Amino acid sequence: MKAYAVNHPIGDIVRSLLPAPWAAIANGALAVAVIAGLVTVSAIFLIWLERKVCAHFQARLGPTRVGPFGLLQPIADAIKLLMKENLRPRGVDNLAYFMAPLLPITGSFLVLAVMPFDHNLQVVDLQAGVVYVVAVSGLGILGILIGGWGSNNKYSLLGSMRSGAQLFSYELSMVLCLLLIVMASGSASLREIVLSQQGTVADWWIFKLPVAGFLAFFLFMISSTAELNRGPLDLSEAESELTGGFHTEYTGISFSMFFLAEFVNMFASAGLGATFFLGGFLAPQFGIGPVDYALAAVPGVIWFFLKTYFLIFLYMWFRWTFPRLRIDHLLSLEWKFLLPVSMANLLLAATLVTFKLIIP
Amino acid sequence: MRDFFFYGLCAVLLGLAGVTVLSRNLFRSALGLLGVLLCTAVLFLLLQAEMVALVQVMVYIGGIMIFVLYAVLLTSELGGRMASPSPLKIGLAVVVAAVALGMLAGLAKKAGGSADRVRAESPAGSVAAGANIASMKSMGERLLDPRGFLVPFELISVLLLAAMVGAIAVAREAAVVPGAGAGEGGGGKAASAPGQGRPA
Repeated sequence: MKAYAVNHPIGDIVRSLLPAPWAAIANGALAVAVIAGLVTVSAIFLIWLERKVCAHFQARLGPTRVGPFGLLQPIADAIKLLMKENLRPRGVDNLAYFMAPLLPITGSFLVLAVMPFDHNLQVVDLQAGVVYVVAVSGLGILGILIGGWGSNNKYSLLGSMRSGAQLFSYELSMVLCLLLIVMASGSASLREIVLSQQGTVADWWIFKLPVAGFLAFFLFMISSTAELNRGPLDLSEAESELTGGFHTEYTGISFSMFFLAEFVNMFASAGLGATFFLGGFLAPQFGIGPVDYALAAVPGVIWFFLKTYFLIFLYMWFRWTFPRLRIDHLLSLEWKFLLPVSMANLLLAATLVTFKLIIP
Repeated sequence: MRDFFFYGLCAVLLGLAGVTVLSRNLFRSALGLLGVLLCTAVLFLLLQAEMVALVQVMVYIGGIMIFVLYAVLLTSELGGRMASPSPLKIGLAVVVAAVALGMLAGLAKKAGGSADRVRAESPAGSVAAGANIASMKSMGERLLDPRGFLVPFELISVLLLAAMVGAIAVAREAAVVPGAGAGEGGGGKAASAPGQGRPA
């Protein structure tokens, strides 16, 4: 295993131009700006992608009028949402009502801070990166509960409790899947987890752990779909069967914050899936000299985005293919099926790791 | 700079703790508690105990606060205000708080003295040593080492399991006997809570 440069050239330029404390501040500000840009641009792009994928699954064309292939459609949507009046229904709890939309987006923004986009593209590499990811993603649930209560509306309240129960239950099996990979790779830092998958495609954790890896990936995809509030597990919205759920009362920019958070969360969650199971920013290698050379020449950040968008496409595929579950089915799926299976899987992986049965 | 930050943070923490205790609105109290827990996590970060801070956020904010909010949502009315407690209760609370403050101050004084002694004995800098103790690796090793905290760690999980089974048993008994839940008032309401999430 060779060592890679961790410093990005732009960071080095800033460091050479400014004295140490100022360079650290400037680099931090740059990193935050880049992440903020990524959050907005990827959310807008994902909204377009969602509409296009949905349309093609339903044998339609989707947005075509605004810009080439309708690419500018989400920008028009965003402007419309921002121009809308930010209504404040009578009797809402001001603090709770206006604080709630900020929490989910903050959570997904913070997750991106530890995401390893490339060898030298990661804002901070925490030793306890996985713990950090789990910790800040709790903010999403809080935002939903607080928003549902603050709206002073019984439908919002019921919807928020329903989705709170859902998110809280599914977080368990998702964390167990992440724990499995932490155990197998021997580190909780996201960068170290990616680096533990060096080698060919067979060294990615999805293939490297016999059975357990693929099962963990499968469980991760199901539980993260529920975590993301996406169909077929989108019981917190279910716009066609139930009232909009926790965001019934929200309009304008407050609503768009929840909406944005949903898409950024999808990006973050797919990025986590790629990092944990699909080798993150590592180029796929097949053990064939020239092919490997050509694939490795492509920058890691492009591989990261390709893998992430592949998983995003899977999420969209699920959403437009499967029928929605009922809330009691949803909760029994988690507590009676996913959780026992992920615990058994954890045990299996522990056995494999202890007896060194990992495919070399 | 760091001192200013520390005192500012402590002021915010105490203010939020005040909100938690004094607010007449149960939901506002819960939000205050949320802020207090977050500030405590920042205090841990100031002590360079990254792992402890993250676990604080994960367990308390991601887990316990959500259960607290659930309990508030299930039991209190929207925007309901609690009645002011009686003077006797306030007096008792002040006495208990004063005793607890005295004990904590004594403990802090003792701990401060021993920290000074450690710093005097090891001039290499206690900050670096502290960072090592609280790192993920060393904490994990101490927790899962048979000579470390393995036995208490496992015992706590048995205790939690027993508490959970007990809670389920209590809730179940009230739910099975239909007449018992109605007359009990507060107890009946709490017992019907788990059922509320289930019916579609």
